[in-house]
Amino acid sequence: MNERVVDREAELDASFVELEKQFVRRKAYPQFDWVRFDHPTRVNPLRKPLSECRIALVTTAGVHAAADPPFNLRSPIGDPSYRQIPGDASLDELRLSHVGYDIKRVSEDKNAVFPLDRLRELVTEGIIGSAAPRHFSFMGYVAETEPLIRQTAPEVAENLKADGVDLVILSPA
Amino acid sequence: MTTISLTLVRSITELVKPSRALYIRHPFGYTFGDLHDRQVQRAILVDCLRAAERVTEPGTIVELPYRWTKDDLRERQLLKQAH
Repeated sequence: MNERVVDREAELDASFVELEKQFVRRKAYPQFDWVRFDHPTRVNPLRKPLSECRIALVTTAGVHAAADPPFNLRSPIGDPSYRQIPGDASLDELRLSHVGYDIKRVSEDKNAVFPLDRLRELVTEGIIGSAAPRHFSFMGYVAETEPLIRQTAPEVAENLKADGVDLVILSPA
Repeated sequence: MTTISLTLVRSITELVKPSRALYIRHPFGYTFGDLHDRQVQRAILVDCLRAAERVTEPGTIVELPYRWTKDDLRERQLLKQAH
């Protein structure tokens, strides 16, 4: 791999943080800034083999059941709410609502952003013990983060614990 | 309960500092790979499982080897020229 090519993408990644901040400030929420933490979250080690673990997906891809309301894509401060995805849901029954990626195209195979079918295959193969009875989705544009940090994210964490989940895979879109 | 995070933008993850993250150079919307690319979708999930077993240092960001080569969507997204 050409190092200069790699560096080009690394530079784009590094500059994106400022570019996105200015974009959000200009288009939607003038007070926007990134939340920063001084120290990393601690690591909770796995307590059992993967073949005995229950795994949940938590995504910010804006996934929701067709019967549930879509996420609010018009609010300048974003939408801190979440949706529950039943563990036995078919991807065909799910919808995507998000402003940050091409949901129309990804709807053709939602596993690209929410790999529910692949997770089930890992259960069938015995690589993991089970998939959680429900998964959770946010929509990634949350410019005002207090309601997320104080209320909705902790609620999701409590639900996951109540379901006996051992490992959560947190994925963006 | 433990967590593994995926990230498409390392610079944002460096601000947030999740316990353990896997960095993937894929476009927004294609976190686990391209449409119908079952092999890569599965491989990235398995990478998450292995990282949950093996990575112990808080704040670690592991770069995964997958590359998006079919078009310049990722570059245009990072430049805010596409979504």
